Amino acid sequence: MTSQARDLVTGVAAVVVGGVVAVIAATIPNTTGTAVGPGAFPLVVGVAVVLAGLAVAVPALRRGNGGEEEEEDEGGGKPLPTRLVLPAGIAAFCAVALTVSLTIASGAAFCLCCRYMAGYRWPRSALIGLAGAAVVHLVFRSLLDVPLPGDMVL
Amino acid sequence: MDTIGQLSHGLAVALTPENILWAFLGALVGTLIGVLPGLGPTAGMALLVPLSVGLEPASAVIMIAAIYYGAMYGGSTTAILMNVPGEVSSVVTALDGYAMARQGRGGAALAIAAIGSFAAGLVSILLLVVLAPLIAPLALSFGPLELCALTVLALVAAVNLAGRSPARGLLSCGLGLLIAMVGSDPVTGEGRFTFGSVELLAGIGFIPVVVGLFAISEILVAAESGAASIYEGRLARLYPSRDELRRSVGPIARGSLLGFVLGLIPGLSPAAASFTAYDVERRISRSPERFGKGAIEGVASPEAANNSAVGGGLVPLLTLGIPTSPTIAVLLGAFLVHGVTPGPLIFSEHPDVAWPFIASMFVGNVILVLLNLPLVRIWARIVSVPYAVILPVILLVSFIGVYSVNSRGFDVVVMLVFGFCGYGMRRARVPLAPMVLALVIAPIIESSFRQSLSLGGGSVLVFGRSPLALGLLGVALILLWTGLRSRRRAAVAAAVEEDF
Repeated sequence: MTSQARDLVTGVAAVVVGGVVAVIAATIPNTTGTAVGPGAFPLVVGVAVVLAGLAVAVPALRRGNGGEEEEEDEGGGKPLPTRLVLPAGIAAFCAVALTVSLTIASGAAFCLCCRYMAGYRWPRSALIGLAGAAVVHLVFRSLLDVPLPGDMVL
Repeated sequence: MDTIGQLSHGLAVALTPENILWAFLGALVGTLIGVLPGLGPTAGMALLVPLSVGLEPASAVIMIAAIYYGAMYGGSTTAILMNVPGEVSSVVTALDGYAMARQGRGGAALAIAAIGSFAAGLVSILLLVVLAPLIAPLALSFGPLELCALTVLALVAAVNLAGRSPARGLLSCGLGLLIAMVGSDPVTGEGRFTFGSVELLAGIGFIPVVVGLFAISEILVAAESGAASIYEGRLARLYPSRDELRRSVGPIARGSLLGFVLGLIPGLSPAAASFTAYDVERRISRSPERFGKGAIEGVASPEAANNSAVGGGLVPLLTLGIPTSPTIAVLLGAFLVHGVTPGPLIFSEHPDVAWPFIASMFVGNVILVLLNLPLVRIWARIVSVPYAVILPVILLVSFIGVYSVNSRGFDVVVMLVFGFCGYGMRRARVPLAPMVLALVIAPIIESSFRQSLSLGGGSVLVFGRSPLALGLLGVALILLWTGLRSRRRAAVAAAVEEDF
């Protein structure tokens, strides 16, 4: 995506968000009996976000009319599916840690990162994963007794 | 007994082996708490106050205070090395600290943070002893009009962190304020922007937001960069050079004074002090373009300011019994648990607690710097650990830090959502730091704004009633205007350079 298109998307998104907030804020009834109700401050902030969004989008539109665009390399040129793997992996880590076991999720995260980011072989990655899981269990559960989501397995 | 005599007596009590041990333990535990994102000084102190019940009152408050400034320092370690702020006031330290770490200068940044924190701690304690009786009434003169104007000034300082685009800074601030609007209205208690969700009624906590914005987005950006580690070169020098030390003296001095003064203001957190100090430093610098790219002054000044704000916050507590921040409120709780009521009579009724407490802060700051300077060598090497190991560690620490505060899975979901938003904002070149400051001071700015307008029957002209508020708003406008002008000039200059 070009920087111009990105600024345009950012600005328009801000205008939409700010506008929605301002509209909702304007409909919040004032039940306080004073001149200023619960919707006053969100209304001011919503309008400010709309103005800031316009200030980002309008120069991008002007740049676009000038016909100059710069291509920017994002994500090291990696294809979209590859770039979605990590966010999905982070979400999966949190889901497993919350529902099954933080220890297991940590071991898997160490193992998979070593395998696919550092290019280590599976046995070495698995060993690092096991060591990581053991450290997490010892430090956070046994030693510090940090309140963590219920370990169903360990 | 005069002030010097009482302070000497307090120092003698603080220097007993038993109290040195408690101060050491407090500084150590505080540093560890600060390093862990989420478990900041407030939560850490609150968790540990019950453990101090069996101690002598003086020993207990010495330990709790040591946890406080230990956590304030510890928060900067992960901010500098991993771009993961341990607490909100470290957000601004990460701007230049992390840039230095990426250049292999993380050790120098950590050392300057330790030295700056130490110097600011000493300055603020000296000011606390000397100026407390004079300054406390002035701090109390801040009403809603003045507080609202001051928070506007702090937001303008945050907008100026946005590099060449104040519009993006304003957008970031606005989004931070919007996030803070979610939840129960502070006056009526009715839900705003909750869309029927029970979880959202309690609002969106700033810890999941901050950790998501910085830590999770950092994982995504780092993995995408394809680099093997944060810094791939050889770590040549772990401590600051003589020139860096010389350049840090002024920023530390200014940050200490500014932090102390802002720390006196009720409701204004140390985060606001560090943001404002950073902005001031960049404005007076002869080469402001270095800020955000690894300027040592950008680490020295905010670190000094946030530590000095701690001393400033103690003035209203010790002289009037008024806590100026949630963390100081926990400290007040620690005093009360031990039968000591802070206020005008504390120095006459409990000199055996009050003076050792103040004196222990000298001792604690020495312990903190002795503890942390040797650790710089170890911490600094973290930047050379492969991303394959460090990224799961960041994810793990972030998860534990966020979950352990309220034991709610919802907070983890919020962290993820803001992590992905933070990644998008970084790609769109929208700065993250102004959003965080806006989120933190939103409750203060909203309540003071509503109180002010209520005083004026809904008219903004009410601010004209207070010369101080008017002056602060005028300064904010001037700063915004000069910021816009300097950026326009910089943009024109850059365009001219490109043309040639």
